[in-house]
Amino acid sequence: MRRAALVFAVWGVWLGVWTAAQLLFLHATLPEQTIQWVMLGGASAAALLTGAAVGRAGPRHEGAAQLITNESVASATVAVGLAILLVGTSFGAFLLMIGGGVTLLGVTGVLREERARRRLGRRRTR
Amino acid sequence: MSAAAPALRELPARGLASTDHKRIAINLGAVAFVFFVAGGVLALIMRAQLAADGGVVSENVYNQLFTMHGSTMVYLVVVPMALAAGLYLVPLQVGAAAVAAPRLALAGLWLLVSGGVTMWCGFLTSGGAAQASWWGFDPLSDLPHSPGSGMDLWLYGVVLVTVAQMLWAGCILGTVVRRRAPGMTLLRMPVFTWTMVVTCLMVLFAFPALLVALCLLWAQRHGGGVLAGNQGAVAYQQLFWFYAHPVVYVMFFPFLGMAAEVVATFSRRRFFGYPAFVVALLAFSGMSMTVWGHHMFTFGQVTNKYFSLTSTALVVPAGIEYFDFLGTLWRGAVRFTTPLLFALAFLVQFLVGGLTGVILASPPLDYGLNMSYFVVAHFHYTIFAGSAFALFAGIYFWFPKVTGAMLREGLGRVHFVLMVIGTNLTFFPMFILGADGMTRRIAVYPPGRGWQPLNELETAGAGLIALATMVFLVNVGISLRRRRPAGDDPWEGQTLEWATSSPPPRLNFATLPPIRSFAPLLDLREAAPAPPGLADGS
Amino acid sequence: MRPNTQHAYDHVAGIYFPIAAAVFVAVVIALGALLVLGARRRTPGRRREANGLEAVYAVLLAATVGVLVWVTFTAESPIDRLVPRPAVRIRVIAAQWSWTFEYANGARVHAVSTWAPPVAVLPAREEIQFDATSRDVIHGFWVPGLHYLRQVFPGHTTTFDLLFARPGRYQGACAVYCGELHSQMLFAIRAVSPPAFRRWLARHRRSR
Repeated sequence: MRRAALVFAVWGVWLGVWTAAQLLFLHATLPEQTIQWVMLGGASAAALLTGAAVGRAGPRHEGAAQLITNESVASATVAVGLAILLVGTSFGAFLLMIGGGVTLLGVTGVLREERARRRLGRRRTR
Repeated sequence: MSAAAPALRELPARGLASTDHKRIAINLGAVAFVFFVAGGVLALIMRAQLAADGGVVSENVYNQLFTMHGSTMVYLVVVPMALAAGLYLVPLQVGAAAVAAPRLALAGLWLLVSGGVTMWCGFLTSGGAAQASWWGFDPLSDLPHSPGSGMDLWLYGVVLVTVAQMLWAGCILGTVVRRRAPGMTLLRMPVFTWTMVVTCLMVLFAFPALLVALCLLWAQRHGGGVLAGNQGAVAYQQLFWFYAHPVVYVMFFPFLGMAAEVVATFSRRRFFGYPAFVVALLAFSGMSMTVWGHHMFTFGQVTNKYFSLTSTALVVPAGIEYFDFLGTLWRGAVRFTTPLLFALAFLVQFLVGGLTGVILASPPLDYGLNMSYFVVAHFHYTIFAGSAFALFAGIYFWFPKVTGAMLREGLGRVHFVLMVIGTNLTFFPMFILGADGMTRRIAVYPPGRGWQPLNELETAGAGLIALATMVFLVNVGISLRRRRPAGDDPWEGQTLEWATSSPPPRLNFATLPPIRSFAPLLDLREAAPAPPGLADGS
Repeated sequence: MRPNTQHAYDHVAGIYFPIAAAVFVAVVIALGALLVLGARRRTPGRRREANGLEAVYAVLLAATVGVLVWVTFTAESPIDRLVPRPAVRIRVIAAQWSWTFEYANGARVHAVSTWAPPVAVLPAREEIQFDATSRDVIHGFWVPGLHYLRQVFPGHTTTFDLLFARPGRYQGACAVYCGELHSQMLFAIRAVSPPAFRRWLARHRRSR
């Protein structure tokens, strides 16, 4: 696990090197270029933070059982519901309500799946 | 070792909600292919217009065509195909039973379908589809200059599919981080898996910039004052290109990985220079995040020299990668199957795109060539003559694994020849037209410049590409109808996906072979004593 | 140094294009040779990893990058720089979908119709400073004959220097997609001898 974290960290450091290299070229009088090092530095920082999180997260599940629902209509429903909701922001309250309703339907479905999964998991470990 | 698996066509419609990463990936690939054909039809209409220099569609419609062609190909076809390949193959290649967070991957599939449909619904609106190019750059894309709802639908579509792509990248990386089989260390992961790892890093850390840009654009269209004047216009493109340069590498690395697996397999040896290649992949993908300003050399408002340096420096990892490909072929025993032919064409044709990219990385040259057909040729050589060819290599290579049936070699070669001729006929003349002063994104060009003959040639090439695609579809149809069973490992593959049935069972593996390197099956074959009568050079 | 964009392009292209062509040919030949040899084998031959060779090769690649970057930087600086005392200053205004040229003495060139692109007269062999802005969206001031493009933004004036080394007619086009009639947004520059330019300018003077 620590090696996987290293991949993120090394990549983040590499981005950091190139962020710093920008300083050799930036003129102090061009504020528009702040966005350049903010974006690249931000990506570098994000990669380093992700590496730290991955490093903390514990060993990988080598061969351990993974409980997955075989199908999840609920997940598909949430996705479509969110899409309708998003489009509804431009096309009126009617679509917004449909989108919200579909999303809610999907979310309750996902919650049911989660509960079933946990119950099954508890039964297995008993 | 192989468990009985249902034939592809017998899978029920419930497959649309399946959490099996293989099912999701197949569905995603199919959806992306439909969009590929749709985007290709738009291109054919554009080519008809350009061959005739007008008269086929109005300027307004032409602008919708190229906007939707580019948007479809980038957002709905090539990036989804790249991630679909990862969703299918990475769990298998690392010996996992399933992908991490499969329901997120499934949600992504439906976000893509919703997003693509939303974007294309623009054609049904009174103002037509979006017409601000696949960049959606402002001020052209703001409300006064793009008043129709087609632009809003485009915006929502891109947001939805970008979120989907980030979800898939998370699932694939999660699988690599947490679901590798015992013995599958990072440096025993196949080359293709490593290309997917670096691809997903770029997706996760560069794509948010696009979401920010689109949020700002949405706010500008629904209230204004956010992306004002020059600062706003530059800010949008800084954010956009921070996403859009890495996205072209997202559209490259997975296909490079496919070509690597194909070249290794059909040279009968493991990929050459694996450690250097992994380092090159990490370095290259990281640096691809630092070059975005080269799209803005002609602004006079960005740090040209920095971006020219980083863009040119890409030559180093790219050169290493090409060296390793050649090293793989060195002393190999080459079998000229259809997948290898496509992979070899990828190597040669991508090189044209890559070298012209180095040319464009020099501002004095870019000032003369940017926004001309030279650039159009450059990126079609990298993405179409390059990546799409490698994608076909991958399709011919892994089709037997996915479906259990072999694709016909004869038709495959016809497809290959038509594609090579069509692709080069379509895109090579564009270098000449661009150098001669033909701008991109124009519905008509001045008649006195002598550009029509080359445009006619390009259109003929595009027709050949369409024909080639039809041959491919016929091949797929015949191969699924009159199946020639592939068995587990028709090619003498090297990686774990060939150690299970074709198609693999729901949880991928009944048992796993020992994993001692990045080519475990090759290790087994090399360790086994050679059959009598075969001269052994190894 | 003079802002000779044609010379800069020709000089850099004269280095980049041959190198690119040579690399392409070398790779294709290497690939061809390896395939021909490989087609004859029935089993793969012995092969060692070549880490040392690869490291040397990487250093050579880096050195090549250094050379290319040096060529680019030295060619770019003169054309990016602004000349302290240009012979002529001209204002360019881009708007959907045509161009307006305004001279210091009030002379003005603009398009009367889409089918007659504006033709600006300028002196050859003298440094000309352009101050370009846009009235609406981003446009692109592209003169292929000079190998030069500068994008033109609303609410901002971008300044650049050009030199027409030889008299003649130079086609121009808006190279940045800018909406419906982007294809028609053409212009031309007629570069004439400096005395001929001064005569033309005097004839077209206009009070503001």
